Amino acid sequence: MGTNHTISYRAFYKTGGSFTAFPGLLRVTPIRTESSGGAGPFQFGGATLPSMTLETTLAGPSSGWYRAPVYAEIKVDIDGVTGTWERVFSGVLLRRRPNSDATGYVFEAGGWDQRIARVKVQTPLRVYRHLATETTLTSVEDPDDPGYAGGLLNEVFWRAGGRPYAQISAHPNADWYYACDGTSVAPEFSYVDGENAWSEALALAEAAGGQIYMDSFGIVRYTNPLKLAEEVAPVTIRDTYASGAILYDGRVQEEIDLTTAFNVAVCRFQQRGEQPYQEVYNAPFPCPQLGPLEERELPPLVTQWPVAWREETTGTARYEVIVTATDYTGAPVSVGVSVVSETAQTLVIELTNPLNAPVSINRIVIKGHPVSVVHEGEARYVGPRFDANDDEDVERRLADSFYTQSQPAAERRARMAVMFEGTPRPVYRGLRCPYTPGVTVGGYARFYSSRLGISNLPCVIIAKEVTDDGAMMVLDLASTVGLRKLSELWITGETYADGIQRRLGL
Amino acid sequence: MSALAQYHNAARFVAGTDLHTTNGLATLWDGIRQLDMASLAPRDAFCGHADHRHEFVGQNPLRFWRGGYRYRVGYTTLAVYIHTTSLGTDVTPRLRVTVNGVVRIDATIATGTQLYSATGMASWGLSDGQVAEVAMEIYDGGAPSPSFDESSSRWGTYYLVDAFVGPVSGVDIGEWPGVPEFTTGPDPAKAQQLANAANWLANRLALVPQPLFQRVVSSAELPYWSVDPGDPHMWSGGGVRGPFDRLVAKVVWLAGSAVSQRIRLLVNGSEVDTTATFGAGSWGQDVLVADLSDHSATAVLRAELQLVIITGADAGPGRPTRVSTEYVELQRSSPPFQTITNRPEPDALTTWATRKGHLNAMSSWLQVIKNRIDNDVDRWDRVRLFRSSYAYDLGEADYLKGRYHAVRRARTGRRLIVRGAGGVILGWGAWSARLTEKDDPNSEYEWSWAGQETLISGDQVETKEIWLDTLPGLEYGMQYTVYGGDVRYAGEEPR
Repeated sequence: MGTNHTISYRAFYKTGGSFTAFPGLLRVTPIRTESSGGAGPFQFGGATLPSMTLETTLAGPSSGWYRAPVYAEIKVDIDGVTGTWERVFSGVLLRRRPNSDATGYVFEAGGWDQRIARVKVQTPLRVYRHLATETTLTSVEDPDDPGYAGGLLNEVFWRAGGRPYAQISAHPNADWYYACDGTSVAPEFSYVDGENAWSEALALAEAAGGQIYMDSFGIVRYTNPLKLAEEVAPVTIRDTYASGAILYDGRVQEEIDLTTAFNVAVCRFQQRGEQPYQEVYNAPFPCPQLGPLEERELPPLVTQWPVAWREETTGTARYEVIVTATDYTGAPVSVGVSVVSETAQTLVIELTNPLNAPVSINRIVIKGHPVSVVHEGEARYVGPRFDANDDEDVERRLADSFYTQSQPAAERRARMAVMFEGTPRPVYRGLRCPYTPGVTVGGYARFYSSRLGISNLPCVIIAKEVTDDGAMMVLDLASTVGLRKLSELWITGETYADGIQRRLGL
Repeated sequence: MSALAQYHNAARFVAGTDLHTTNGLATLWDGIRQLDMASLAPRDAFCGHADHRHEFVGQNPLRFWRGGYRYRVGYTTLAVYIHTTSLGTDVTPRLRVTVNGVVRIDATIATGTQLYSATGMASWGLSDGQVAEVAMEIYDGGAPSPSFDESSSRWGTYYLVDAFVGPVSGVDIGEWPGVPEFTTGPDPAKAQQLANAANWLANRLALVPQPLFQRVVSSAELPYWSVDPGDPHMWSGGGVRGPFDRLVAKVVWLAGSAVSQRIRLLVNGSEVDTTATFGAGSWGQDVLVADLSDHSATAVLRAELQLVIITGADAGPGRPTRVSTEYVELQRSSPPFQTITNRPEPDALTTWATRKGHLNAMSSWLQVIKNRIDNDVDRWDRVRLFRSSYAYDLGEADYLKGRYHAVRRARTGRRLIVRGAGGVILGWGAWSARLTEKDDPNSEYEWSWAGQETLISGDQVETKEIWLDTLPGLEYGMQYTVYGGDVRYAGEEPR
């Protein structure tokens, strides 16, 4: 690092429907992004999403910024070569306060979890739907598309306002972007119905195995753990000079945490089954009478269990709505019923009064096929102990998940948990490097350390912190040695010669 | 365990994910074995008649048989096999079969085993899934009625040997997707085709419900046969042999006062197996087996159980033997289960040649099951009619309820469709039978089960669908009983 590095920042926030430059911007404060919020480097679930502060002059926005989308970009010019603007953060503005001498403002922004967590997502009941599907340039991501076959996680992200980063050209002004790996986990029945889409997303990631985090470019990612060791375009991080390598100062801390390690995992499953045709909703009319010829959309009618409203493949309806209505004489009236929307646990209907006189709606009954637990059990996977000196197994009971519905699924989760979460794994912390564009959390690296005697070690960058006003970055790396890789398994759609060896799966 | 319950929809394979998709390949692998088992499952013999073969022997018309079936769009034909060697005296017996009260077959009965059938079921006004009630009468339009001679019936002896509807293959479940051949990799379309083929087979097998067996339960003071030497009829039925090569009947007896007697199994009038001779007051049980392998697959076989009283009772009031016909079942003596290798461990390394071999083997297994379904027309293209209880009104039903139970010997399905009236109970688990009159050993028995559910309580005839998973403790493989009331149809649906 020297005078031949010039660091520039800029930031934009969305106001009036489009992104505009953040007025009066003075400084962007350090940003730390990380891919694991848990105990180990590859803990399944979600990471703590980054935050950012923007320091401005008094020209900073005084209105129109409340919970507005915001992103910041950095540009590094090296040796007179102008760099390109690179996004380093994306999130929502949450707070404005005066700076220390009241000569300007400090705006605090949080990650996209702040937005996603406030979104209520309700999906239809899906059958054998993959929990996440890979986002590509051509993947169908809009859940309302009739041909939608995407994963539930993709659906949560889309409905929370995200758009696929792989299709950024089609969605240039999206508030935020996401990128999903595919997972082969596809429970028999699945759906999302939650007030907090973020926690629903984390539950999906935990069930599928994998992590949700925001990378150093502000993209919310879901990573299939089987891709953690699938090295793509690694950067080289060395403590001695080599052409093309990122040079760090040689100071590194190696850490292995056994306190959260385990070699035995127990996972419970609950098999779901479609139940007999029965009343799934039965309640008095939730609104007053219908006026003459009135059409009225009712508040959602909520069922106790998810309901298989339709045949998954044919779309044929498998329910009926029975409305009991009477006119002022007490004579029954056949009220028109049309269905506005269906999600797994709700039905929104519109009633039409056919009479030019008020009618009383006495009761609404819905019949359908609920889906509930028919069988439950658990699977246990015993992996190798941490080393030859171990004289005991360390067991962890995995959190229950709606999406773990069969013995094979529970076995798989248990095996994955031991391999990725439970197995102790060295993490190399605190590597101070000059800021280098293109380096992001979740990216791959080859690591060298003279002091530790490490050479060309495959790693994943699990944390990145921008320091020194953007001049430096501090990286944490986790070794991926020994991790099971997707390419070691038989992949649907790949071609193989007869002699090729692969594994069936986890 | 049900062979088919887990199949709600075909598993899905997505390009770019590992082949061991949860509930995908693993489920397929396990499911194929279960499909194989299900396609070889035995079936209950058709229930013709119990101890009183024709209920009102002195009547014209003679109430002969009644039962039901669940109509599916695609069925065209109702077929009935009747056997007789004695048409009767001074009568010209005719068979009249009504479906929901409308005459569909009306034909003169001839000697031997004869087929009577009606086609055009699509125009009978039945809706898909509706339970149709079938009643059969033997009548002579020219004979006097009601003063038909009750004391010396002119009727002959008639056996209903088989009755079924079909073809099941006429029910639309979509085209058979065929099975793929894997060559250079686990192509997603082919993997999906494999899953779709398995699901199609599950759907196809599920089209054939299993009507419950109308079990004959011994009861006090059965008056239908004497204690004198003779060979009174206890049960008859049978059916087309189909793919099965043996007929198995389990009987339980509590001997009355006849000095020596035995129970024998006849096929087409010839004795094929018998219990040992047992004496007065003894009790026991036996499984009688008829080897059917000498008969052709299309042969119509009349099975009959008889009590043979060799030496009658000594002096004194006679006490008839009580006999229960627990089940009569058509089986394969050596079901040709496919050699399906064990599901491989997910983490085990294999070559593509091996994996390809496994995938193609799965295709082959599915094709074998498909061929089996196609070839076993009698088993998989026909649905046997359920034999209703023998009562003709609710009063009689109540009287007879301790003697005839509709029984499923081993639950294999998910749903039960029951049509009936007047206090129909589903019972499972441990049972007890208590005398209705505590101090009268000749009174009827009242049955109860550890688990029981009233299905139809009123006198109005209703059709009920019961999802068996909702009944706590009624696991797959357990016996259950539909008891009481007037049960007009009871059939277990695989899915």
